[in-house]
This record gives sequence, structure tokens and C-alpha cells, in this order.
Amino acid sequence: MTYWLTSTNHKSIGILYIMTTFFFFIVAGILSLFIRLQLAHPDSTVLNPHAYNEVFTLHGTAMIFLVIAPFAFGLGNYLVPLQIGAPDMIFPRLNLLGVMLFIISGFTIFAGVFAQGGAAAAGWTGYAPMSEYQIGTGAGQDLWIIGLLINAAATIMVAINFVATILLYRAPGMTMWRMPIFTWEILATALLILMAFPSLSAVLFELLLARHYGAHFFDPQYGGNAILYQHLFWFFGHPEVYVMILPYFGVVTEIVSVFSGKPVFGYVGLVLSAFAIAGLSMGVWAHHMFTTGAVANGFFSGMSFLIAVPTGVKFWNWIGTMWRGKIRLTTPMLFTIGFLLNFLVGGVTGVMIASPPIDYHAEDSYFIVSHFHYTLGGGSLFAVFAAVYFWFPKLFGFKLDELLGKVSFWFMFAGFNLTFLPMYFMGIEGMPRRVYTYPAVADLPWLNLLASVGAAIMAFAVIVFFVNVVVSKLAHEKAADDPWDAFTLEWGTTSPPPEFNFHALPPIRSERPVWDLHHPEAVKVE
Amino acid sequence: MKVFIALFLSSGAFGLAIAVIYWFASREYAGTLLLGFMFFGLSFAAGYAMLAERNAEIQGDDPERQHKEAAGEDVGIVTKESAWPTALAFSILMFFIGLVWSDFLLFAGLAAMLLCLWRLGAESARIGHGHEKLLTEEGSHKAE
Amino acid sequence: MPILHPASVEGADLRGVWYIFFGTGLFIAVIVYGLIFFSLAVWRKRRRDDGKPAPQFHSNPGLEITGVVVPLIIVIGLFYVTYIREGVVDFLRPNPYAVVDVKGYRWAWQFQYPGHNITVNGNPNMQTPPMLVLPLGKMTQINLYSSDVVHAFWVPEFLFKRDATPGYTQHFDVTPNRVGSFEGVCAEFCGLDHALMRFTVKVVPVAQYDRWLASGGTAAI
Repeated sequence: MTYWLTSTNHKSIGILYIMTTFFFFIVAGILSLFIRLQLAHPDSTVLNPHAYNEVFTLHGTAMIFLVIAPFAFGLGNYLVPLQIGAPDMIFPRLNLLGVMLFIISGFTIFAGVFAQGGAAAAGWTGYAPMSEYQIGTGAGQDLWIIGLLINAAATIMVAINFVATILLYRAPGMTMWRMPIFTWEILATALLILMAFPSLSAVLFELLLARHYGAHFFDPQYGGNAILYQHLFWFFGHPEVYVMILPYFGVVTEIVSVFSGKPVFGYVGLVLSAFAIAGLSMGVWAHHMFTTGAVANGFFSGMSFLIAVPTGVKFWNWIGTMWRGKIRLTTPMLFTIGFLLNFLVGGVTGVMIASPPIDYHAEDSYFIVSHFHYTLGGGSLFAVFAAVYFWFPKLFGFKLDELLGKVSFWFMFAGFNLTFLPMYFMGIEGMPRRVYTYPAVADLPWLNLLASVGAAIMAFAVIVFFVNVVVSKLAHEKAADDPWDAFTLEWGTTSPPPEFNFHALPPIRSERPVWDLHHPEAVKVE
Repeated sequence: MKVFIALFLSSGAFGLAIAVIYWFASREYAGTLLLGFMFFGLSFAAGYAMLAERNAEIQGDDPERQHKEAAGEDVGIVTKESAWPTALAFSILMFFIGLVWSDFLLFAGLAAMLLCLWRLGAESARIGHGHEKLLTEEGSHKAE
Repeated sequence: MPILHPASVEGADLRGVWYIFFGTGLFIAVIVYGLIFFSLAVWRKRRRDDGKPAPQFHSNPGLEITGVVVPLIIVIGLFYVTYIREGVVDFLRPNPYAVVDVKGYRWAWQFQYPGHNITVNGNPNMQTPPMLVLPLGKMTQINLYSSDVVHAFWVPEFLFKRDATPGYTQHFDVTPNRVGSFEGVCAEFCGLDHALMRFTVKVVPVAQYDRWLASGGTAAI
């Protein structure tokens, strides 16, 4: 036990991140099942209004801050030093501080459940002036604020660590242009965190000062400005969604290239597009505020459309990687294909809502809910599972069962689309977000029922996944160094790796050192 | 190092460009200032890299370098374990809880944070001499 | 479906934008899905594989540039459509036939007709949501604000919503082109009874509207 509290090794810290995120994934998943249970019928009384508000607040906060983003940090923590041939992260004790703060932040946020008045209930966005009011949002809201301040600090620390490690700790011969795309995406993500998170810390601090120290930043009665909260929040909030997708673009790139048996197509394009997305994402924040009437809609609309271009480049290059390859439909590859199909829907609807005329109808409706679940759920979450199936043998020394893996994929894909495709139509028909009930009009009742059935199917898929872990552990088929015939340095060492990662580093002469080692006969073509 | 500088400078320049365009498109202070801070922060990092560390030799940057040539080189401090980061994490929690509910915890937390930082510093000084990780001929890392 | 039968002139304009974007999105999806499924069908590794590696090409500058230029052209086109349409919808036209001050508060709506001494108050426990009466075919200007937290005024069949922000009044106009009763909801989370903050928009012929106004809001609608 003390090992986990004191070890500064990036591998144990990475596993701590991953285990914690899976714990919160189960919690947030159960919360989402409650939401769908409540909304399956129009006049449900499963949850009273206040409880419902707490549930969706905690579901959103947990999925964003305690699951999707930190899983990527944990995965990056484990893989980046291996992928660049380093013995550890460059600031090991800062790394340990970060993961501990992250774990503490999760429990702080959820401690609100035990507070008088319950947990935070102002949505994951916590809009002021509502979140400024002490009445009705008591200690739970304060614990949410503190928890997120701690989470933000932890995130900034891990970003600093990634930037410095990737810059300074690469093995001889591992130039920046030979790094795996996953490492590049982590670098872009780290840069984005450094640019965006300070705004979150600032706005949360202001909220704390407003609630307890008499400040009135966002309260118009005393000269404050409600729109200011939205500017400060979304200046962080939009880059945050790219923090939650860029590492997974990296995961997708690695898996597509390995299971097509080909090098990444358009390596330079993938790198440049990562930074284009990171940079552009800093300039689009008020597309979340189109309906306020207080922002320059044209500017934000234009910038938002531009982000579609580098994202399109990535899709183009992933298809180019599969083209004329020898595609193996393993479980990680299935989840990755699922990512491509789902994320495209999310991306296309994203371009739609980047247009204010469309957003005037879609904003704050289930259309938006569907859009961001297609990108973060159908996208990032599918990539999480792809990553787990792909790197599991490396981390834990045994493979997950392929048949159970495929079963979990098909149920997940079916359940996911059954849940979220109807939501586009629910939104168009006029169902707003964050409501515990809705009128029994138009198609809303049966669309909602479908969505709830889909959620149950997804829950089943997750159960199959955990069954897989247990069954595979019992079978314990020991994993080789390179069970997938893969490319990058982490596959050039044992599964799991030794304490300081490599007994002997393969020579590094391209972005695929392990492929070069195992396939000297393969001729590189331009 | 060149890539790092290019990355931070171009991101900063981009931030400045959109800050200017945004100001003329909106005349809105919050967003313009935030973008301006982005430019400032990134330029600061790029500037440091350019001026203070311009001669830093990074092992990884040489495409022809082999492990053999780098063998015996110090790659920096790699600790195995330490109790102080976890202690610092809990001190930070105490501080934040104190910020909202208790002056006592606020100052106790602050004091605990300072204690942990002091011990972490002492640890670095101790480790710094004699526990460097060295690169071996095969390219693996071993402790001294 | 509101998209198919919008109830206002502006809504009809907005519907056009929906169709264009949906069509473009469908086109892109067909191409991308097509390429993915094609690759999976044609280049799936067969059981009887010759063991040789796949062709190891890794770039094609022409194709890659195309992959940048084509999406860029598409989004520029979409932005053009957006810019034109938005300019029309956002523009506040002078000389409205009717003016209504709409206030959102926790957790109902209030409609005031300035100069006519009519105030309609809502209440989440009311069986009937508060009614906003509007004249058919005439432009009404709405002045929207909140007295406490952020709310949003959404009439799905107008394909349009705006935030009601405390300390900031928004103005927009709407010209209904169909008689009837249309649902309205609050579309910005505002706490406990956010889901119950509903209202009804009742569009009536102009003569009936004038009569209703003259009677101080008491005439039957």
C-alpha cells in the first residue's frame, strides 16, 4: 500500500491514474443510468428534481474531469517515457504529486453527496450568478469548486511534466520527427492545458470569493457581469474538449497504422494538424454563447468552421493509412473503426452548430447533448477502450480475450448509437437540456425510451468488458514483448517493462524503431 | 530545442494575431486580455528557451547518435520513491478546505505545504549527488 | 417536426440553413464512410496471406494538399451561407407592430405589453403555462431579460432562442406566419424547476390581437 503512495515511477503512477479513472467511470456510468431511467417515461418519479440536478452535474463533472481527460494523462504517463526511450518522466515527484491531487480532487467533488443540501447541482458548467448564490447550493457546491481547483492544479502539473520530458528526455537518435504520433498529440495536449487551465482556476477562484468573501464579479445587482463568467469559463471550456480528444487522435493513429501494417500516412500533416487544432481551439470559445447576444458571433463562427479543416486532414490521413494495407480486425481495431464512424457524426454536427442560425435552435437542446456525446463518448470513450485492449498486454503482462472483446465492442457500438442518435431528433423537436421531465408530446416519449434501452445495452457492454478482465486474468496467457507486431519503442521491451524501462534500446532510425528491428526486409516507399 | 522554440513562438504569434483580430471584431475586453495573456505566457517560455538554454545539447536531437556514444552520460535525477509529494497533496487539500471553512486549517495547511516543500528541496539536494541515472552502452538506464 | 413547418418568417429562413448543412454533412459522411468500408472490404488481411508486408508508402503530397484544400473550400462556402443568413436574422428591424417585454425568473415567465398596461404572469404550478399573444404576419419586437439567473427563451417552432441574462437586455424581432398555439420552454439550466418553466405562444389574426390589446388583455383569445 505504501508503495502506491510513495512510488514516483511513471508506470505505477500511470496505472494509478487509469485505475482511478475506471472507478469514476463506473460511478459516472451508474449516474447516467439513473438519468436514463428517469427520462425513459415522461412523468417519472425515480429522481426528485433536486436529486436529478445533482446527478447530471456529477455525471458531467466526473466524466470530463475524472475519466476521459485523466485516462489520457495516465496513458500518456505510462507510454510517453517508453515511446521516447526515457527511464521515467523528467519530474518524478511532481508526477506523484499530480496523481495524488487528482485522486483527492475526485473524492472532494463527490464528498458533496454527504453535505447538507447535497452535492453540487449547477451543472458541470456551474454558470453564475446561479452558482454564486449560497442558498440552495451549499457545501456541495463549495466542495465542487475546491475539487476542481485541485484537479486543475494537478492537470497543469502533468502538462508541465509532459512538455519538459518530451523536450529533454528523448533517447539518442529519437529526434522530434521520429516520435510516435501519440507522443506528439500528448505534447499538443500539454500545450493546450498550459494555455487554457489558468482561466478555469481564475474563474473558480472568483466564484469562491463571491460565495465566501463578498465579491460580486458576476452579480449585476452589484455591478458584476453574468456574461463575464461565461467568457472566462468557456475560454477554458472549449480547449478542454480538445484536451479530451487530441490524445485519443494519437491512440487512433497508433492503432490504425499497426493494424493496417503500414506506416502512418501523412506523418507531418498529422503533427501540424494537432497544433493547428490546439491553436485554433483557443479562439472559438464563445460559440457556446451564440444565443447571449453579447458576443461577436461572426468571428467565433468563422474560427469554429476553420477547426474542421485540420480535423478533416486527420481523417484523410487515417484513411490513407488503411489504404492498400493488410487490415487486421482485432478488438482494438474494431473500437478504433467505431471511433471513426462515431466521431464523424459528432464532427459533422459540430460544423452544423458552428453556424449561429442553426445554433439558435439547437443550443441547450438534446441536439447539443447528442453532439458532444458522439465526440466524447462515441469518440474518446471508444478510443479509451481501444487503448485498453491494445496496451493491456504491455501494462499487465497478459492479453485480454479477443472473443469477449469483440462482443463488448458490438454491444457498445449498438447501445451507443441507439442511445444518442434519437437525441438529435429530440433536440430538433424542442426538448431542452438538463430537464428531469418532459411533456408527452410529439415523438419525445418513444425517442427517450429508445435512448434508455440503448443505455442499458451499453451497461451490458461494460459488464462484458469487466468479465473479460477477470476471465483473462484467470487464464493468464503471458504476453510477449510485441504481441501485435507493432512499431513503437514500448513494444521493444518486456511486458511489463523493467523498472527503468529498457534492458537494451533498439536502434532508433525512424518513427518505427521496433518495426525496423523486426522487419528489416520491408522496403520503405515514398 | 529548435522545435520547442518554434512551437511556442508560433503558438504565441498566433495568439497575438487572433487577439488583435478579435479586438477589432468585438471590442470585448475579457477575451482580448485572455488571448493576450496566452501570447505573453508562450513568448515568455520561448524567450527563456532562446536566451537561457540556447546551447543546451539534447541527446535526442541528433539523428545519428547511437547509445554507445552516449553511454555513461548523466540523464538526470530519477527517484524511486518519496513520501513528500503525497504529504504535499494532502496539505494542499487542507489549505483549500481552510479557505472556505476554517482559518485554522487555512494556516495549518499553508504551514504543512511549506514544510513539505522544504523537505522536497532537501531531498533533491541529497539525491542530486550520487543517484544519477546513467545511460549504458546498450541504451538502458542504470542507477549509480 | 419544427424544422419541417416553422411558424415564423425568420424560421423559414433558418430552415434553409439547416437543409444546406444537413445535405453537406450527409455528403461528407457518405464519402468518408464509403472510403472506410471500401478499405475494410478490399484490404482486410486474408487467412491465406502471403506473409509479405503491405506497400509501405507514407505520404503523397498531392493527396495531402487536396485533403486540406477541399475541406477549406467547403467550410468557406458554409461560412458564406451562415454569414448572409445570420445578418438577416440578427438584424433588429425598426418600427415593430408590437412590442413585448419578456422577463425570465425562477421559475416562470412574465410578459408585459408596454404602453398597454398588460402583464401576464406565469407560475410553475399553474396548469396552464403563461400565454404570449402575438399578431399574425406582423413584426413583434421582444425585449428579453432576467431578474435573477440566466434563462433562455426558446420557441422550437420559430427555430429560435435567446438567453435571458440578468443585467443585460436582448432585443430581437419575430414575425409569425401561422395561426396557432406553439410551445415555449426555458433552455438554460436555472435550478430546481427549470423543466417546468414553460410558456405558450398564441398567434392570432391581427384584428383579434388589436381587440385583445384594447381590452387590456381580457378579451377571449
